[in-house]
Amino acid sequence: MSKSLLQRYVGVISGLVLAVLMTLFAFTVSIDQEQHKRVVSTLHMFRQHNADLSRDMLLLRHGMLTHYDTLEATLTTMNGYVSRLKPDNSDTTEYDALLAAHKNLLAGMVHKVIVVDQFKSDSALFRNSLAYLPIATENLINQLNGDISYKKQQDTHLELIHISQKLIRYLLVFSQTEARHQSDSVTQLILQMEQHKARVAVPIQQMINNLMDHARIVIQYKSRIEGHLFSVINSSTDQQAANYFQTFNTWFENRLAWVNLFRQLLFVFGMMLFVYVMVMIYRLRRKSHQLEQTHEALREEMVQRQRADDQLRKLGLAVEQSPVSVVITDTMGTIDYVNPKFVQATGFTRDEAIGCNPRILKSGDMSSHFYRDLWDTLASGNIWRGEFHNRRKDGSLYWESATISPVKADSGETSHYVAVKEDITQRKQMEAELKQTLASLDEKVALRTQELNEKVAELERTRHVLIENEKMASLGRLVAGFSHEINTPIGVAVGSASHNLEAVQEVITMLENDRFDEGRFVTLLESMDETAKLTLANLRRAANMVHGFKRTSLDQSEEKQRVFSVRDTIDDVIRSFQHAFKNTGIEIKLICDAELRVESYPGCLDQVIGILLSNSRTHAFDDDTQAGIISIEVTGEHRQLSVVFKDNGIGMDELVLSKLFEPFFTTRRGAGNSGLGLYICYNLITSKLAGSVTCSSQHGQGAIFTISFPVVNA
Amino acid sequence: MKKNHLIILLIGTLFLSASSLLAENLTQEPIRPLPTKIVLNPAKVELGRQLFHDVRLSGDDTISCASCHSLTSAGVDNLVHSVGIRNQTGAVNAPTVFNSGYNFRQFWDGRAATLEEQAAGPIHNPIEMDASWARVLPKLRADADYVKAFSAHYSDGIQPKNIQDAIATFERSLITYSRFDRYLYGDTNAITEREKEGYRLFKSYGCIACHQGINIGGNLYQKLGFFGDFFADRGSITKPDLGRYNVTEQESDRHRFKVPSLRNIARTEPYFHDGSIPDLQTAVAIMARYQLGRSIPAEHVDLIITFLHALNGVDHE
Repeated sequence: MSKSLLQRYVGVISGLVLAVLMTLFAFTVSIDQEQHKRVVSTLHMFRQHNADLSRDMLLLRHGMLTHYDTLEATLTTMNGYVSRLKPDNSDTTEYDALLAAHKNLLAGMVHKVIVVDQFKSDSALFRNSLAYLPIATENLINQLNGDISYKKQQDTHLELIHISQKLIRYLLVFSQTEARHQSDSVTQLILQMEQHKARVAVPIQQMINNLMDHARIVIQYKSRIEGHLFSVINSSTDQQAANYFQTFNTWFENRLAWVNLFRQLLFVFGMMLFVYVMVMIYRLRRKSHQLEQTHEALREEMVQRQRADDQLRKLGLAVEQSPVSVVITDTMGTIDYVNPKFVQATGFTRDEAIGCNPRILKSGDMSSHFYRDLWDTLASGNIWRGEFHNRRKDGSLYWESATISPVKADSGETSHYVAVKEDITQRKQMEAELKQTLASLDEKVALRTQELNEKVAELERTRHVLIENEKMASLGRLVAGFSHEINTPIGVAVGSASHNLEAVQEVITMLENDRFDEGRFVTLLESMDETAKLTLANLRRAANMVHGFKRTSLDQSEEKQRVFSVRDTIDDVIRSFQHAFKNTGIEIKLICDAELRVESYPGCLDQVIGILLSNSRTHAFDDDTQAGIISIEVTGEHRQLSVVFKDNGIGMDELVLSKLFEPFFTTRRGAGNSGLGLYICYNLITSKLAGSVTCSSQHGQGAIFTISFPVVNA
Repeated sequence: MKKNHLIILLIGTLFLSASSLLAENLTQEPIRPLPTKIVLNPAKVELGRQLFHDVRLSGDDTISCASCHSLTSAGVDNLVHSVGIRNQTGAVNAPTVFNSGYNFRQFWDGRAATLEEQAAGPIHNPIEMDASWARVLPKLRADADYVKAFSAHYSDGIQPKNIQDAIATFERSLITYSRFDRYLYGDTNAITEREKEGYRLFKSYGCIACHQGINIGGNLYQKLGFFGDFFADRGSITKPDLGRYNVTEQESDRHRFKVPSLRNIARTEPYFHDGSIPDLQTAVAIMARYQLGRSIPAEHVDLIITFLHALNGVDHE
């Protein structure tokens, strides 16, 4: 404060110093050397002209100058000088003195003009008379001489001639000299002339009068003219001019002294100002340095504040846009702030809420104990969590879950409370509903379980029936196949036998008829041999078939575990399908150790391989013209027999693959397939053989059935 | 400033010519020739000419300077007393405006020191132009040509002092060279023998005592009626007859008048301040009687008058 006051004083003082400087400078430049020169030279010229005036008057006085133009010109010039000498600035004390000096000068000039005017006038008269006197005297003498005949006045005339000659001589001398006594002599002569005048004729008297008039004028005007002349020559004009100069010079020197003083002051003030400016510059630089630092700190602070502002704005926005209600109260519980969600949740506007106590939301459902607990918790500086059952502005009730925490100032004192509340009415409802739903669900589950059990039992029964049915169907199929197979050799055998019979009967006939034809007989014999062989062969084939069939049926039914050759068993099955693959390009390869003998159920294996071969023929190679390979690879190790059945037929897609082992699944229901083949297969392997079967296939890539089941190695 | 400059120049010119003549004619001729060259601002001369002829300077727009100082009749009106506005008659005879710049004072009684001062006189005189600046200025300021001309030469436009300056400048241009000037410049044949004889008599009879210098008079005051009482002889003395006394109220100035210039004297009748003398013979005789205290024979008077004719301007309108 005192510093700024000091600075203000410094400002005022520097302003004053500046004003003083300006004034001093103005005074300094106000000194006008030109004016001084002008005045001095004007005065010089004035005095020069004054001298010229005296000289010209002297010249005029002695007839050496015959006109007054130069006098007039000189006077005009002098008047011009005097008017130029009139002091013009009235601001100095010397002005009055100077003005007085000028006034003197002016008055002197006015007087001089008057004197000169009179001098001119008198001089003209004097010169006229002086010039006329010799003529007048000559005229008089001539007149007197002419009248000399008048004897009686001869003496008088002579006397007058004498006097007038003397007079003119005296006057001429008088007019040109300073001799005072001459004036007395002339006066004496005029008196004498006056005495003699009465005695001459009237015309001569007039001439004498005229002469005396001019003579008197010369005497009188000589002194007048000289009076004017001396008046001008001795006039104080010169002295006045000198006075004026002295006054002016005093004034000028005073001014000069002042100006010098001002100059010195100007220098001193200038130096002071310079020092002041230097000090100020030094201080300014120091200040500017400080300012820079302050500026830097301020900028830092601003950045931080900006950051804090951003933070605050973010927090504010977060609170403002929070999906939960936020209420801030002071320590007395008066609401300071609510966010829009609160407004939305309670129906109270922000203006309505702020300033109120949160008890405006009280539904009355909560016990006073509840609220006491709340306030006790908060008062001890802890966070309170709980649920409120509150009432909206429109009266409707709602539940909210609240977390109320004290907000502490830096001092550690609680300054505010913040309540974060979430509407949980819906959750509460859902919880109740869920409880109900769970109860009813238990009942339903019990009921369903019972139903399921029943269904399972029923299913089990159905499965048994189905298995039985399939067994019958398989038998039927076997019988049908068998019949078809055996029919051919039996038919051929029957045909051959009957042909043989015919040949025999012909022989018999021939023998009976004795028309035995040896040739014919030999032919018939040959034919009979042939037919007999044919019959035998076909019958053997039929017998083999029956043998095979018998084994099959034996294995299938009440089969018991026994040791058998795996290869032989499978070979038999393949052979039984030879007719099915007869006209196709499909080759069946069996890779199996011929020595491999195991103890198991050969009938089951037989049936399984048969079903797989049948499926391959029917499904994998439905096109008869297609060439293909079916390979059956059997390995037996570690009491485990593994059969890999591969074909390179059309394969199966995923859907088919997933349902492959399900009962009644068939892709060819319309073609008379039952869809039980693989199901039986599966059951045989998993139940009877206690093994497993898997199938992998892709459409167009063939199919691989991998079967494995435990065996007792032989 | 410019005005002052011109005046200084003019005075300088006069002074220079005077000093040169002084050296040459110191004891020679008391009459000095007009300068061969004067320096004046031609535009101001022209402006002064217009104003000189402008009747708007008078109260009722009837009278101009030229009404009484006609440039076609030797700068005078040749009347005993001039006629002002509303046919009022003045009290004194109008002196010629020609060569008036060489008069040491203006008016018969010398009450104006300069031509500038003089110019304002008749304008304000109720029996002459009977106007005032207050009435004249608006009339002139309404004239666009004047406004333009004045603003071209005077920073403050149409002002009384500027009007006076312009008129005075014009009047200073009105100089009339005579054959006698040529004689004075050395042309001995410029005047006749009779005129030379007249000049000799003019000098010897003492006329030259007053009528000398460049304007042959006009540079001093003289009492009218030194030898004998002119006014008593004439009778009925009027106020203007008191002459310079009216200005100074000094007894010695009673009947004292500015000695008039004799240039163009043969054309500027009637004579004397009262215009009482219609012819030069009488005027010369009266002058000899009352001013010189002698009588001049008639034949000498004729010779003097012959000489006076040689003072007429020869090259002016």
